[in-house]
Amino acid sequence: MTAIAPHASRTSTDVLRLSGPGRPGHLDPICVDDPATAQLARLSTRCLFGYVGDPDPLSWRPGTPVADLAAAVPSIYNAGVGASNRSLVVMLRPGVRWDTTPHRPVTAHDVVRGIKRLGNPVRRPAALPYLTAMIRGMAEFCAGYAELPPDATAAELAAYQDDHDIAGLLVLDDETVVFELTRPALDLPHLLALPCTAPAPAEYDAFVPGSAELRAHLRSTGPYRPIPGEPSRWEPNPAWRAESDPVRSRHLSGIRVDPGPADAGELARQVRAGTIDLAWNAEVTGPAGEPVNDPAYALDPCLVLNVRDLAVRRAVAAAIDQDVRAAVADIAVTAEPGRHALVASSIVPPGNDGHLPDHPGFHPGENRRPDSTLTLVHRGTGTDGAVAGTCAAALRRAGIEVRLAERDAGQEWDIALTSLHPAWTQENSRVFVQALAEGYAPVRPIVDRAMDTAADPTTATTAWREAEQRLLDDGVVVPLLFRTRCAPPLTSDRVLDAVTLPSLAHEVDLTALRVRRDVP
Amino acid sequence: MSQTLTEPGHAGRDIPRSGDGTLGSASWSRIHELFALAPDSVHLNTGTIGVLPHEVLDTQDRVTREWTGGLMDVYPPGMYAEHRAAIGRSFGVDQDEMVISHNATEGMARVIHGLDLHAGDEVITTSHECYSVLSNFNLVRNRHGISLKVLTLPTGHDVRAEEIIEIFERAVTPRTKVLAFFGISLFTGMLMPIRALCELAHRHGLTTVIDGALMPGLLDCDMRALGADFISCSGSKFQCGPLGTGLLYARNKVHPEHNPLPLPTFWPVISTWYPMMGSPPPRTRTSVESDNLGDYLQSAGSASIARGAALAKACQIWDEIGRDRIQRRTTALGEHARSRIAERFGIEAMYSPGADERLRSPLVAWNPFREPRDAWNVRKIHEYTSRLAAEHRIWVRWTEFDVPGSPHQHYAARVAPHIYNDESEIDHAVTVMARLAEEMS
Repeated sequence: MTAIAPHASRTSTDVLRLSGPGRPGHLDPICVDDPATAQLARLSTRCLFGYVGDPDPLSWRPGTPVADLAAAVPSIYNAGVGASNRSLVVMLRPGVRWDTTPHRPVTAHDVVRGIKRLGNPVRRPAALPYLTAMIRGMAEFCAGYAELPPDATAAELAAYQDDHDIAGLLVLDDETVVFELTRPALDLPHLLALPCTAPAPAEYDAFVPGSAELRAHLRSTGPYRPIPGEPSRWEPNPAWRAESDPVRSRHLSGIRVDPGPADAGELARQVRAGTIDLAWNAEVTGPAGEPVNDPAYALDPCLVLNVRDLAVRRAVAAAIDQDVRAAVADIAVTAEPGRHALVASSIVPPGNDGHLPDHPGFHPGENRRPDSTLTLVHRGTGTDGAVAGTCAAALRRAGIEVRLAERDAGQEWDIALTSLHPAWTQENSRVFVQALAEGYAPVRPIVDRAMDTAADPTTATTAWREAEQRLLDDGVVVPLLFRTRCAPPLTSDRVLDAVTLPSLAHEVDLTALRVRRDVP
Repeated sequence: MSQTLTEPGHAGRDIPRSGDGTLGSASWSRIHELFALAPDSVHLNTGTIGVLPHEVLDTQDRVTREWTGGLMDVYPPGMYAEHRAAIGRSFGVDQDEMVISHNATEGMARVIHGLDLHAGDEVITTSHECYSVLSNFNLVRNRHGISLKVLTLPTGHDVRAEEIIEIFERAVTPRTKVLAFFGISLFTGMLMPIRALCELAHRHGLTTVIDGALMPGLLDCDMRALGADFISCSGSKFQCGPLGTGLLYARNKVHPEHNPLPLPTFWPVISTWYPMMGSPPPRTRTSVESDNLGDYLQSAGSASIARGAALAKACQIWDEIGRDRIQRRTTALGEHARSRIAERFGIEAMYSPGADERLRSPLVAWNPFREPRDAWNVRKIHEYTSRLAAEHRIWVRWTEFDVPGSPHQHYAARVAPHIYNDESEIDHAVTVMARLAEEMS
């Protein structure tokens, strides 16, 4: 992949134009936890490992991690992995620099800083449990970090990070980090491809994670960088070199994301008219086809319950029967024909490790209706309102009073309509079950057993399925649909090389895009 | 990394040769001249690759030329019948039990995939096996659903044979079917209590599979008397045959005094001569073979006749020098190296056993750096061995392994002396290694 030659002329027509509802989220790596923001973060944030798209929809490559900031994926062939798979040696790729002044190499210390930041008490990424379960000493580090107040200053946060080490992160020199694990982690390269694990430069110690101040001082290792003061604009990063980046290219003079309508039809009209190149944070696709090559479906949508009473949770789960799911499927398919939908009776969707076809589903147990009204929250975008309404109606028919509300920070809720997209699609046994088990203590010992036996697929699979069944039967999660894209995103006529990535929930990799200059 | 070269003009020199009856009494300095060693170098890495005797090189070259472009039938000599018989005798076994393979890995893989294992069967092995053993057992685990129990054995000067045997004995369950272990650890140099472990296996009715890569050419071993079912060896390490040679022993008859168990069910995967229809005769229960298992395993298409001849020549040379004599010599060199290393680096730096003679092999592994934490710094150990080679033409290697109770992957420098080394070379190497380690510490 090569960048445009420095002396090639660039015009404003080389700027990629995106538009859609909402605003880009904070690009601090630990704040990147939704596909739309991850799509933009990829422009400026590199991780130790990453994924590369492929125009062939049958290709396995987009789901396989490759070395990004790392020089190579650790293996026994490069002395990067030992026999027990509990020690991984990662050597950094030379020539990668921060867009600081002057440009400065990314070092092993930046890698460790990036991992340490995950445990801050102000804003913790949802993926943190994946790492605390594996990296030696990280759980203890994060437990201590959590004792700082949520309004701790940047100086206090940095002091904690400086004064405390994660025992299983060893910096051998500026270019080498060793990850020591408490259990074999066959998926560690995938974890270290998550945006939140990106290295952080020393400058970030001066800012509270996710703060407005940090937003104005973000640093880039990718081909583009946010323009300070213009959070929805990106310009080429002068510190980036194509020869040091096997994952991304740079073919544009800039990217912009403008506010746009939530209506997919209107966005599609603008794309076809060439007013914009691509929709952002919205489902706007070309003609639908069949999903190809066993794609990894998402659990999309589902209900996650925040109710202490087991009997009440079971009552909610029992009220959502196959008729309700069929109704939800009708809504989803009508509104988003670019996604293939299957009625879900289990948690792990098809195409993911541990999926069981013909899963028996939820086993009804003793249940009772709640004494008070339950609050069901949803994001308020796309089909959320209609799906939430359908579920609420089913619950009311079962004698459960429900109040609907759009999700808001700090709001109390009992049921959340949400979705779980696999952040990685290979070696991903724990992506769904571990994430849901984090909030439910009775399942955690089963999850621990599954992770401890990762090297033994038969034993591990049995444990994962036991955990999944327990989550279902205890009403921790109520699956509704499995869905996956079966249509490519709609792009304007001038866009070329629009490949998607499973790690971005099949959004387009903006770093691979080119635009034709002969088309306005 | 190896830079071993044929000495120029060796053909005109008075190189010792096999067959004239002199090797058995030749001095070690005379025997040194047998080998095509790179000048001004110290080769202490025979655990990775041995140095070929000139005669072995000549044999390989001559036989290659004899069989190039000819109209001869290449298949019979490719079965190495006479070579296998002769080599088998050297190791106390018969021709129908001996195979000339391509290397220890190939032999281990063919054994592992030929074992009659099913879902739920348990294999016990160690984390100190060659990676190819673990990868092949993992393949069987993924394919057939076996259970693999991987033990991490203790390391260090004070390890005792009884500890090793007890660790294995505790791990055995009613589902265990196979014990698979190394003969000599390539990582720590530990010599396993092989006979004792085989007797443990006999008591529990288990099949034994030994990775004997480092055994031939170093140990004067009677493979039948060890009591194992399978031993896969390298021909190109201490046996000093060409790269691409190995030896595989597959028990094919019952000698109760050595192994009372029935022959295990075994599938000789990769075989031209396995019947195309029907099955071979039932496996014997006596000391008389019912078929030639070695032939099944040996027949795998066209073979390099030169390769087999060269390995056979290496084995002949070893027989003439005397395998027991070689074992005594390498043991003495190993003890010399161990004592010098312990003096300079400290007993606490040693990963190889020392206190228990039964576990000592000539291979010695240790942490060369002053700081214990440098034992888990792969960059440092790599730089160390690279500088030894580049700056001092001393060839050793570094190894990596798990240590019980330690969260770290440990790294060690390892020397593997052989009969073309001597005490002065070892002293020189240890002095240089100590000085470099101090500089890097």
